[in-house]
Amino acid sequence: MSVGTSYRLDPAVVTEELTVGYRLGHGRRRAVLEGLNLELHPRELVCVLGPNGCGKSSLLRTVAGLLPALGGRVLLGSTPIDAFDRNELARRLAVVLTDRIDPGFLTVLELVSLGRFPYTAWNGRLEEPDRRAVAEALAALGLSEFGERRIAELSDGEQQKAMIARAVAQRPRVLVLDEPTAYLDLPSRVEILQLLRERVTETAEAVLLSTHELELALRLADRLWLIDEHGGVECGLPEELVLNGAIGRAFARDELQFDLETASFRPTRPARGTVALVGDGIATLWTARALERVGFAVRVASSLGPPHTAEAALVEVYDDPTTPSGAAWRVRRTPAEAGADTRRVAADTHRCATLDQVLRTIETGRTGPADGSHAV
Amino acid sequence: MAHALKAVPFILPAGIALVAAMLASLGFGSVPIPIPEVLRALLDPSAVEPGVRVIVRVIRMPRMIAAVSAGAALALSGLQMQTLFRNPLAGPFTLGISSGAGLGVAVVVLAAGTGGVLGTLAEGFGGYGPYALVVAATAGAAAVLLAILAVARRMAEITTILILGILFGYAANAITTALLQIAEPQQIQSYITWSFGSFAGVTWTQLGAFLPLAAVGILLSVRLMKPLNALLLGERYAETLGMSVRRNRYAIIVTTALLAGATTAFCGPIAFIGIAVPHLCRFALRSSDHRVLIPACAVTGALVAVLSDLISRLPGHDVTLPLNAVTAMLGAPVVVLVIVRRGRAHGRFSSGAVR
Repeated sequence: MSVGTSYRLDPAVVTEELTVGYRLGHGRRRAVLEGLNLELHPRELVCVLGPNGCGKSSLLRTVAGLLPALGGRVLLGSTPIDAFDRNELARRLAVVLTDRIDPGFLTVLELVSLGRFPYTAWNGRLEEPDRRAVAEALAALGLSEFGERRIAELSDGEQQKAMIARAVAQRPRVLVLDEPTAYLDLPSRVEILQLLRERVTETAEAVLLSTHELELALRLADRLWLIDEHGGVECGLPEELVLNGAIGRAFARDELQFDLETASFRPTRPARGTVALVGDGIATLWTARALERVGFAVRVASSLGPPHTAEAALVEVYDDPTTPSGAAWRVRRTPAEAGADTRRVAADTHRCATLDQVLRTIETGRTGPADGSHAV
Repeated sequence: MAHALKAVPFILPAGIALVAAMLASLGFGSVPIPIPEVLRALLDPSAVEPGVRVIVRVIRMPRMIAAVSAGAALALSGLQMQTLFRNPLAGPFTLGISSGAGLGVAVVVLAAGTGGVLGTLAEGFGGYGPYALVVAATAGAAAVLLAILAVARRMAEITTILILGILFGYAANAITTALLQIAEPQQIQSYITWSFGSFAGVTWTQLGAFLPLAAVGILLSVRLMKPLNALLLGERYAETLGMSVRRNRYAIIVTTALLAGATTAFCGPIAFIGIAVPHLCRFALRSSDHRVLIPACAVTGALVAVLSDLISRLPGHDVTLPLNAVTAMLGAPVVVLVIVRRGRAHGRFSSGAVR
């Protein structure tokens, strides 16, 4: 074992030449993903990323033993997944699906207690270890006070936490979650992924989840399984997949491009022109976003940086405690002016107290006093 | 144990009410017998007149016991169907069990007196007497059950099984209707009387067959409470919890068919108890946990059946109402209530979630 991997435990899940797909009956099959050799290690949170319809859910369902593999196999530890009977499997692997449940009068405690199903006797009665596992699962998801609440009365985020607590109560070695953050508002999405992140560091569990939250996944995942449009799967550190361009390729669309600096996608449209932005700090960042949104390519230069190219429009950002945002702007040259006279830099700098004024000045194309009100 | 305790405040009063109703059922009728006399006839038969003894012990008691068993059986089978199909309107007869039984009865009723193999068979059982009807209903229910199991075997979606069950029911009803069209008025009359449902015709001898069947069905229901709870999350989740969906689906269907089929064979197709009582128990206990619902449904089902039978006898009058008319009058409001409340709950849901 090499030094670089010596900190790792034996893999919790291994796929060997796995083919994921569906049997259509009459011997016909439709493979979605083929020849996958992937590993999931204990203490790791792995996010499965990929465009819609690429086979994320099918892959997860195959790993969870819910969908038989078309070829190859899934090993849980060192045992093929289909060698376990259902009950043994449920003690090792727990699943949170996207299925909506009809909770009736179920309470949080009753729901989470169902996670003990593979351990309890025929009558489902909880013994001491079961009760302890349920209490710990509730605590891990911050639901200790919610035990007697009915599932139907909870918010979507709380319902999802209860479903995860139920899976955690199964005391699995592997936790598989299919889009656990779908339908949730942003704070709940962050909270749930954060909770799962802490979970893997506190226990030896491995967590495998699919998500559309690219930015969150890049921040939280130990490793990504990245599926591209053609059914190829790349496995690696998030940062690595960003740097080698795999992320950008996987989500490539004509109208979208991946921005390496902000780890987000932005529309690719022909720029209306280039704006050189001089300044630093938060105000500069948001000025750049506003200018990009209305269709300009932005080049940011520190105020101490080299002189800016004359073909670009020029906006300066500087601190000004008298404005609500604590910043003010000088539009030194508009795109129109930059095109007309590449040498011109407005001498009477056009001061703007709000971003709105900056954008309007840029749009009207003149740095000269438009109505005199905000000229200095 | 906490779960069992939760049910006590409901099951204890229901149990007391059931005992009271059972005694009342032995006392009321065309010849009213005071309760102390009923008790004496039960505990010390030699102390009462032979007439009273016969009325209480031979005529009314089998009827009362049939009502208790049938009520419990129907409520339990309804509960399991509602959970299995995740559908509040499912009931003991959703899979067409009663329609199959009805077809069997219609065939025997028609065949009686017409000669031929079936006719001879029916005559052999005493015309369209009690045994012929029981055997016919059992055969019809079993035929539908086998068809359903053949479908369930192929691991179809549970909704598919539900739809096919309903369609099997329609098909059986259609054949029954066609058969009745060519029947004599007297034959139609005996079919209709059967279809009203009644505990009156059940004898001690029949109870000898009915009670063991119902007891087996009730025991199987108790054994199924853990998988039934897992099914509250849907079949896919139940599978990830380690439950064998196929095996438990079979077990639930067979148990339900046993309970509903035996009841229908001996008492006719009794409506509404199987649909309404599980809802009644869920709302009274505010629980979906089968560990409390199964005992609660058994007791409440028995209570509702005995009460319905009492009401159908219209104490103080000579007329009797069809049992199904009474159960429908008692059950329909419960079902309406459930639908209204569910509608409200879903309204709250959809406004809370954006999707």
